[in-house]
Amino acid sequence: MAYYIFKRLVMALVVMLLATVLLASLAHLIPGDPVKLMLGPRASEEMSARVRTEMGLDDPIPVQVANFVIGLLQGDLGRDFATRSPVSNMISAALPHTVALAVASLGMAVLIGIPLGVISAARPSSWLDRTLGFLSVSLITVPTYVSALLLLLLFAVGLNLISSIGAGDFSDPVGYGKQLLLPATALALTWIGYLARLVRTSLLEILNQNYIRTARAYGLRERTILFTYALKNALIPTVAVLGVGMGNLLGGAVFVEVIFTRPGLGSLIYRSITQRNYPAARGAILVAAFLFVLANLIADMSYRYLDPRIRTWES
Amino acid sequence: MKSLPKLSCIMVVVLVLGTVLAACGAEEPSTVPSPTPPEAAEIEPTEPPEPTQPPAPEEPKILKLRITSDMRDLDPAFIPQNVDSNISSNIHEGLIVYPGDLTKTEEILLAEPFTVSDDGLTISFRLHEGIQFHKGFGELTAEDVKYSFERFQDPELDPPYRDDWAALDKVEVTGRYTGDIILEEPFAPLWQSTLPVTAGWIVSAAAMEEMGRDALATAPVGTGPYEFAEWIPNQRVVLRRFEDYWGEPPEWDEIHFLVITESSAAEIALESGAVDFGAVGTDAVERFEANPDFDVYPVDTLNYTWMAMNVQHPNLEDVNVRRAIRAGIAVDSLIEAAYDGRYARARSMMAPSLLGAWHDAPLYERDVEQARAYLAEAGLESLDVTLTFENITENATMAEIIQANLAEAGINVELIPQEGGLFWEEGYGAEGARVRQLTLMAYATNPDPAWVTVWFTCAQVEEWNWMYWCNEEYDRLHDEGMREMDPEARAEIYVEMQQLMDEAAHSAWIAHPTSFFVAKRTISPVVMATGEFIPWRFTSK
Repeated sequence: MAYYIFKRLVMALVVMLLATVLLASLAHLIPGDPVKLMLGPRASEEMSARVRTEMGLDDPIPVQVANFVIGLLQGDLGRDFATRSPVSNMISAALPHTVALAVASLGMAVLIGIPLGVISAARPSSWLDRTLGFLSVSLITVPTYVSALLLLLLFAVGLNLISSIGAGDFSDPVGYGKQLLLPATALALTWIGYLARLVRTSLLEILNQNYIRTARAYGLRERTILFTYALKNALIPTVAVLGVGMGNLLGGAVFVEVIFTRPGLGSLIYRSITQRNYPAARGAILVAAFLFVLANLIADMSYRYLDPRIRTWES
Repeated sequence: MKSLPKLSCIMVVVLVLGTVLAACGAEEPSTVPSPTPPEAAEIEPTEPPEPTQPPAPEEPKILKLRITSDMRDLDPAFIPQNVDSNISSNIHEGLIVYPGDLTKTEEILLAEPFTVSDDGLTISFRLHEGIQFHKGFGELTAEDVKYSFERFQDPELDPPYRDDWAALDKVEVTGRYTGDIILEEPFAPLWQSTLPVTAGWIVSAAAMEEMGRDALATAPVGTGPYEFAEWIPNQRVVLRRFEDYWGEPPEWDEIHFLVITESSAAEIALESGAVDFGAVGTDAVERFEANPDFDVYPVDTLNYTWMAMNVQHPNLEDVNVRRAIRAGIAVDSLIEAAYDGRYARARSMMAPSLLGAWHDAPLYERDVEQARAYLAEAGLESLDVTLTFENITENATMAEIIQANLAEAGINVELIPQEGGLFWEEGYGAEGARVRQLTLMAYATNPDPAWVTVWFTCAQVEEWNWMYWCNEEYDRLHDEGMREMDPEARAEIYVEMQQLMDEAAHSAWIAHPTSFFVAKRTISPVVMATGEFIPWRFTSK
């Protein structure tokens, strides 16, 4: 187990290093002068030149990339071009909102999607299964930005139940939760449909296996077979998918954050790129990549933990 | 179900990670302590008050406004965008201001009107006594006026708006509340686009010395009716009523500026009551006009949009080719399709309300035969050109119509949509003159004609003059217009400059954009033709 974890950690570090160099280089390929965008048309050439030097934009791109990597190793992500504040502050201000959104939306998807999948698999080809199948596919096909706008129009404008904008403050958990409800639902809808289909398919496959037939032959109750023996194995692929999903959502749910004006990592990346704010873009994308790798690493390990066959196969 | 808890372990790990990150590094909002009492909600009694107790305080009266992006710099010498001036105008004051429209100015900090010397070079002022700066930075004096104006010429500071005070020699302090603004030469824009706008706002010399420019850029100190209270980046800016304000107290206890970048989100925020006032897109105007809870305020701005033709490009160097293009475009159709016909058509770059507007300028209607004739005069039967534009919906719509229009005149247009950063980068500098042919453009302006004409001088050819057109007579007139103090004579100069541009046929003028603001029916907003609004002057009906 220790060797496995060590191997995965080394691979994760290599991926992170490559991602860092690649992302730092790619940021410079985006056309557009950050100084012009920041200072506006009336800034003098002298002022622009001075700011360019202060920002380190005079250096060749490989030097800028190397400086970024060296700074990163020292825990310094650089300073934001626009406000000159440390990028790490911007990220640490944005990240909790993104984590809250990702956890809430995937949590919602797990709590609703998995039971829906189990219900479908327990009564295959019934009218309930067909209805849930139709519902799940519909949820999967609705783009997130459409469901976000529809939810806003229904609950914020039509029923006037929930405030439509901002993230609220962590100091007011109830208020924060209310602000989180609609964006998390908008993100969760697709995942609910996806998980329901995934769990149904895996569960049906498991339910046709020999050990389930044996369990039935022993006269075990169907409920025990379903929840104790079948579902555990059926959820293994779901865990892997959730790992990727969590990584993606932590990387920034840009549409939802922009529509609900939530100050998360996704909107920070979007804004930084449009402003050619290289340090902020680099830092935020790097953190997103790190979270993606981390989520996948955790999913990998839990996958191995949940499935003893992998451990047996390795040994 | 044993595996479900295991599954949720992953979620918990990430949640814990997020919580730890939040606890360790969450950025504190930029908050300035204020002597005002805690909010009403915090001190509301839990039981009904006894008759002998003082009545429960009322809920604070909060005005909530949409801003289209986060604030960046509230220092009057550096304000980069309307969003910042909309916030800063509640905090800072000048000697004179535009009270709501651009036809008159109002003296606010002055105890008596300016005295101007016969040669127009010395402007004497006397301040009201007892005007206080926010946060206890003391009384406003003539020294603060001197500091605020002269810092524009500080080479170390080098603010982008230094040209607003290009003619300033110095400010002489003659008493605690009196002083003379001394100019090196007559400077006509002083009264339109220097003193009444951001460049004329007064900052506290003491605060600047104690806190420094960087700190004041995001937590400014002025004498205005509201003081800066809080900034949560990318969420909101909060201003609180300044209790020691020298003038009439404004109506709102607090003003909240909420960052909503997307128009559709802003429209929903208005409809759901999350904001009281904000700009909306032209496509939403009809919906709000039909809604009895809102009023729509269209404001014809001084801004201008046009299609620039690069006179240095081999394809467009013949004036007859440019005339052919100008004659081949149906400008009214562009406005109809891109802006629901809601923008005012432009005759030139000067909006009709601006001094020097050329009211009799020719309005070119589409004439395909005429366009073909011009092309023939240039010795051409057909022509291939490119049209570059910033890739937003309205521009793409206009570009497609232009393409279809010109095709009928024998001119084949290749469309080049570009992302914003690339669009502004590519046209700038020597490279721009080489690669650009036709370009869809949009500029904003301060309320003085000199700030419209300056971008098309020879000095701007490799900067912001994207017709890449240089005319010495135009440049001479521009300089003359800056010095001419008689408004009528000045207006004639600017009309002459527009005529020179018309002869060169390097532009097809399209529109002066109309900004549409939506306010709850219970609110009376104040919006200016610069597209800026003045929240502290908003009142409830």
